[in-house]
Amino acid sequence: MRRPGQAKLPSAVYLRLIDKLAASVPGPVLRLKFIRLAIYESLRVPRIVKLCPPLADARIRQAILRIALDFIPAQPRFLPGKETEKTATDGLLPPADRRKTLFRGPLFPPVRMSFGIAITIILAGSVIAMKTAGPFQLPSMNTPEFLGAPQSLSATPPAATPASAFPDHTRSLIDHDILQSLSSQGDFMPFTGFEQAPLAGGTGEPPPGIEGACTDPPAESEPNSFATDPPTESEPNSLATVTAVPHPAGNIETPTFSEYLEESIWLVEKRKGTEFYSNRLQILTSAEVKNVPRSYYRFRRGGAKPPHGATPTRTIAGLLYHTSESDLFPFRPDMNQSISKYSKWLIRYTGKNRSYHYLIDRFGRVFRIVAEGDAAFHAGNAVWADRDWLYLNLNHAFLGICFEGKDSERNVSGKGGKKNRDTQNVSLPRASTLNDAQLKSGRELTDWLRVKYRIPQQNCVTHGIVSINAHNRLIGYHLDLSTGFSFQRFRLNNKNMESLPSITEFGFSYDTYFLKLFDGKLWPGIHLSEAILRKNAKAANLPLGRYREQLMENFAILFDWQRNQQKKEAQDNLPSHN
Amino acid sequence: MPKKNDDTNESRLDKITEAAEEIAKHQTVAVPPVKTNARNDKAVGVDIGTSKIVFAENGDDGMTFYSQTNAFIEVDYSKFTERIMNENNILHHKVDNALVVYGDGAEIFANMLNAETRRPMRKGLLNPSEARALDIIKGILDDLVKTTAPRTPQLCFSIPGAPENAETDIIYHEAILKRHLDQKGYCVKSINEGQAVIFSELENENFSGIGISAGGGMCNVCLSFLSVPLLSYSITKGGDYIDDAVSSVTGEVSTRVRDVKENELDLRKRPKNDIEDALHIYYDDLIKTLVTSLNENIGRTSKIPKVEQPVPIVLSGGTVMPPGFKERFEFFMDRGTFPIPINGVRIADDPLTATARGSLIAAMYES
Repeated sequence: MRRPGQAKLPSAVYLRLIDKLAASVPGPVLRLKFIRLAIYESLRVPRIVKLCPPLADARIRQAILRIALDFIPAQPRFLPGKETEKTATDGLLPPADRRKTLFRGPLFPPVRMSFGIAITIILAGSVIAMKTAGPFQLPSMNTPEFLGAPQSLSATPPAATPASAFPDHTRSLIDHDILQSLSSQGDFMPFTGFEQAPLAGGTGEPPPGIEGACTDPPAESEPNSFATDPPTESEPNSLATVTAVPHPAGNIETPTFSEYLEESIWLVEKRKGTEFYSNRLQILTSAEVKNVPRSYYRFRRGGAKPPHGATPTRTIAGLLYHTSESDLFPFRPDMNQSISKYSKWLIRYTGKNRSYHYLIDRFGRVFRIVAEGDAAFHAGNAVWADRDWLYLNLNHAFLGICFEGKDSERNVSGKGGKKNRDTQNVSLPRASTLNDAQLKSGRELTDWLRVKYRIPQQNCVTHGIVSINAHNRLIGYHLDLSTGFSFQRFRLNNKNMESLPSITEFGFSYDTYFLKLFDGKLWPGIHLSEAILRKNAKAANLPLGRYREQLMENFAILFDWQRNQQKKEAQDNLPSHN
Repeated sequence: MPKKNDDTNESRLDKITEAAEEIAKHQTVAVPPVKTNARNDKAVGVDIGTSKIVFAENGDDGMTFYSQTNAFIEVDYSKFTERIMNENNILHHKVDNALVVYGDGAEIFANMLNAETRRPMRKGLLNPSEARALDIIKGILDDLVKTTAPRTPQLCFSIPGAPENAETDIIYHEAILKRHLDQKGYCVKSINEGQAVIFSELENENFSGIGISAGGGMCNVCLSFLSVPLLSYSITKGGDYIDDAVSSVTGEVSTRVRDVKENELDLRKRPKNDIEDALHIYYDDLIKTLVTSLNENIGRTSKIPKVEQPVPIVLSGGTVMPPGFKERFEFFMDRGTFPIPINGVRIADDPLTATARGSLIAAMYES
């Protein structure tokens, strides 16, 4: 029998503190790790420190709190007024009754007095030093050293942009007025501008530093590039009244931006762990890992019956933007350490799982996670198409760029867990969590990759737009950046305005759950896709349902064929490609 | 082996065929559906209990559990029988002129042939009176735990707390199983059964409380505070003790007693027949022994931290499954005199898989 007394525990005061903090750590494994680590740290106090109980006490409390900050990432837990903040403060400072007994330790009185004098001298010295050095300032978040940018850059601290400062106008991208006008007028009118929702201050202007995150201005040169027919008798409220589709790919031409980026960007300097480019882009490469080499099939549009027209390739066809959907600390100077630590943890995690090619942390630092020549597992079930090709394997075909941010809140409850959409409670954010630094770095990275691999703007898209569920044939399995992404800032046409290949090419649809998620206000591209689908069905002389079925069958053939091919290639250790 | 007459052989063959079909039907649920040699790179937990071996792994859809009965039975060898077993994926070995059927199949064969299964483990440890005990356990583990790349994923398996006067036996038991699982490529650690229950069930209490795993061979107890075990021990009374004792006093075979225990017994109601009556008596005896041991051992423990908040007691294992077990436990446990404050007794969410789940959490923690 294992007798008591063998296991060593810290004193009850620290146990209580650990117990309180542990309640905020999510998941059994993390909680267990936190408790074990906190107990270990609280027992690991050097003997010399133990001689001075107040020092030992402060050290233990700090150690426990530091560990807690590593394990409690959730944003709301440290918001002012929350109970957990009180717990955290309790951990940092000894309770009132203990403060009185700081100097009543077990030490012999003369020794205690010596310690007291020594501490007083140190404190006095510190105060004098601080006075001579001027007022204490928190380190700026965007100093050149911090961002890793060249010295010539400005070191002016940015204005803090806490999440609460963002107005609730992200959803204005989904212009329901236009959709209403579509059904009321009977004409299909393309989306020509953005509804400017009144901002929090009533000024109609976005707050500084977030214009890219939420407010794409209307594309002025965006033409009404397809004609419309009046509604027919048989389909009074139908959107299937489009008579001409301007783009052979089914996407609306929005020639605001040229298809390719004709600029010269080059590598200026390459050092161990960093690469610096002529457009100010700096890539941190110390976390780079290898994965399976890129190798996939793309399918020619409008070709023979699938899977004919499948072509093996290793070309990088596009860029796919994601958010990490991880918990976020408040973006404030006093949270620097926690934000950085959490980003490091995220980098480790994404590297371990080979999740993305690039990760842009909240300070705008760009980390290469998976080598560009390899695939990353960022969009397993996704569909996209350009003028010539259909892409069903975006893990290989597209480079994944992830912004550290949160674009939806998923709470799973009830039976069925995450599998059951009906029991999920997903809410979309009230404002984008991407900040100015991230968008700047994202733009620089996009430019460089587009130039390097000659990527057309049409193939730069967000995860939420391309994501599908291959089994129930529904769009929007993932929702990150499905709306509200600042395409304009990236010199890209707004993909929320363009049709979705998953709908037009493969007949995918959406369910009431999806509709509910967006409060019934879906982005215009979906309605356009539906309209194109109806038109094509009409042209093929088939009822819409039958036509959709046919497209879905095509998808099933391609999807299965591709999956089998991947399996085969994995076994044969990859075939030789062009 | 003496030749038997044709009638007996035929009827036995019929029964074997019937049993094999029954097992095949049963196996679609109980056995992992895909048996591949695919290497496993995730942490896994294994509960090696006297009556069942449960395997837990963490997949994309949450935790998944597979189990096999830790029992075996010998049947006469014939090519026909062997073929049926092979066709139906029934776990078996050929030994001399007999086929040793083990796992879930053994139980069904035993029912069909009106025979008793044998146990490779007794009282939570390897059964010294069964020469093939180790081979059987290895066979079941081979079926449940796939081979993996050397020393990459973590595996935690449960071991019972050392029973009094038998501390040395547990060392052998642990070492033998660890060696076998080591060979499968895992980084192996053992975990006390009671503590595994705490990891599985007491997350909300920050792993503070008393975990009791009442299995077939013994009852394992662990008192833990903030995941640190302060006391762990076991008593050598469990489900098998009840079966044997009831069987002995009523003259019924153990299989029948077990059937009544698992399907009909309700400790909240008056017993309906002799078997139930005897089951009530021996269940009470087991619970009383358990509660007494808790009182004594925790009372003797001097270094329990000053716990302000009362802690829960969580019960798991197949023996706690009959309705009314919790109520009987509470009846015998006098909270007023219990050495530490208790805020309630509860049954684990899934008593049969709690230990495996806790082992998996421990493995994930170690990863």
